[in-house]
Amino acid sequence: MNDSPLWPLAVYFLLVLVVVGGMVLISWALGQRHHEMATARPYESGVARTGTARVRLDVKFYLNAVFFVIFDLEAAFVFAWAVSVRELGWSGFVEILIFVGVLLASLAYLWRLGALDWSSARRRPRR
Amino acid sequence: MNLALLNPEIALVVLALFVFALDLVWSNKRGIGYVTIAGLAGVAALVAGQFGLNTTSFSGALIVDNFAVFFNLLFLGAAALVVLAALQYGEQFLHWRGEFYGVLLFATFGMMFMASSGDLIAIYVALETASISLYVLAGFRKHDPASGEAALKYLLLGALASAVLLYGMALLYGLTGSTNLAAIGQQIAGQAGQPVTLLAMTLVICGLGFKVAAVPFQMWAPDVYQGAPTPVTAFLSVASKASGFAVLLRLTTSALGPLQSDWQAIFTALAVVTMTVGNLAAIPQHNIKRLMGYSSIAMAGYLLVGMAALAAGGAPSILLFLAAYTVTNLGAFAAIIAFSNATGSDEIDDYSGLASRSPLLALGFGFCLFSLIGIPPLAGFFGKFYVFAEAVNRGLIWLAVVALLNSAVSVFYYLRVVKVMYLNPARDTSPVNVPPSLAVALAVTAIGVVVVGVGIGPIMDTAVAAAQVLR
Repeated sequence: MNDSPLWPLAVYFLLVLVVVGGMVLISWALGQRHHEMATARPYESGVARTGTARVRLDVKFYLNAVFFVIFDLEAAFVFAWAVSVRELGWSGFVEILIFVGVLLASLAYLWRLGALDWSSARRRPRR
Repeated sequence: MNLALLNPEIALVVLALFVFALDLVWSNKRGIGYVTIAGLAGVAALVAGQFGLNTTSFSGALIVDNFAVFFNLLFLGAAALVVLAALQYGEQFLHWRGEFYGVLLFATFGMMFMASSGDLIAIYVALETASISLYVLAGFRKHDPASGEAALKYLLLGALASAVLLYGMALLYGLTGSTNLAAIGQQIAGQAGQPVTLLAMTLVICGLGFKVAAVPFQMWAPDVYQGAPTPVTAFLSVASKASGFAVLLRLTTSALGPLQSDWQAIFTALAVVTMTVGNLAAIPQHNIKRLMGYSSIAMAGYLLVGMAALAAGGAPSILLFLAAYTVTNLGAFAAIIAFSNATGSDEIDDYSGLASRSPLLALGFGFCLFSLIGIPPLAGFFGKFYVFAEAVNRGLIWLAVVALLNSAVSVFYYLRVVKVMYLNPARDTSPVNVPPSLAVALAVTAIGVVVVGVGIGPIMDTAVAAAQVLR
């Protein structure tokens, strides 16, 4: 624990508030106001918007996104192994083989389950 | 680093993966259930072989001691009984039954690590492994909105509790510079009086309080218990609660040992409100699963009495209570599952005249309810007796009195179910058909309730041996 005083932090925080508040207030007081046709649009100089953003997306995208997140995350563990591959030696190699093997098995499981099929026709309901 | 110490856990993961693979190629889902039970028995044998080993590995992150063995056997036994109780239930109510058993095994795996972790990171990872599997299990009746609601509520509140727990753990690490429980215990004595130490301890206890459904972190319990598939409710009420107490016991005795007077005050307060709220809220319930939900909150309150009275050598009573409660509650849920399989109802009113429709089912359920009340010589009596006696020994006589008063309140709602079964006239006199698998589960637990009660000696010895390692 170092015993440096805390008051500079408080002063700094107050200064931040004053500077930011000052910028907003002064530009509000001195600045000009516009209200034209394009002012309220998200992109003033972009393409004019059309329709709503609340479109119903197919739930299959969600499923695929979940698969992506899962398999993408597992890659992080492989990276962790890769940076210290020499120190870990053969036992590390065997461990990562088991890890990737389990991943592969889960991919085969998903495939067999029909979770990777885009059309729902082939997905068999099971009990 | 001794990989052989991990044999039971490795075997359990291999079993889970095997169950998943088997599910793809074998259409006999009941067979997969039997394979799961046999595999769990094998893993339990491996765990039992570790009794008396008392060693640590992986720089203290893995603790294999009698305490861990005791809890792991509890989890494995509970999982096996839940699978047995789910065999018939699954055929009627669940899709993807092979996966159900596999996910249940992963939850058990996480709980086993919760009991045998000596490191904050390992505890957290184990807790999440168990919790995420349980979230999935709670929502396993995919087309039942109540089940989905249960899973969502459990997930959201569970994530909140995880965040609170992690915050506490981060503060503990910041205070002591270590994630190892024993090292934290040595370091934290010097920081005992500081507010931030108290904050860290409180946050950790709050996070785990969610896991064991202690008031005021109990909001999820009744809804989740009611909405989840009944075998999952059974598993939640015993194994999940036991795993939470395993971590609490480990943390308070090793990492937070020097802060004993502080956490004792917290546990005392939690125990009083948990018991009272659980028991009072159980009274007006008319759904049996919801009733059992509040009953399990009340049970968490009695266990917190044990935590408040936790001194050197005070832990065996908690372990004993957990063992008795596990057997009893699994029996009660086996009966509830049997009844809802046959009638499709969980309403207490529909239990009217069960004694004349199906005498053995009513008798088994009645045994378990009496054990929950704590009638000697059944298992539940000794669980409560030792916990309350421990409180008296530690001078917390008023707390023991509150616990006894609460027990008296609980007699009302448990006996109401017995009364409905035995005294109310049956509306529908057709016998309730109990399939053999559930009959076995109910018989095993009902006999267990009596045997644990009558043969309390050896179990107490085991609990004492298991608790010895906690200083």
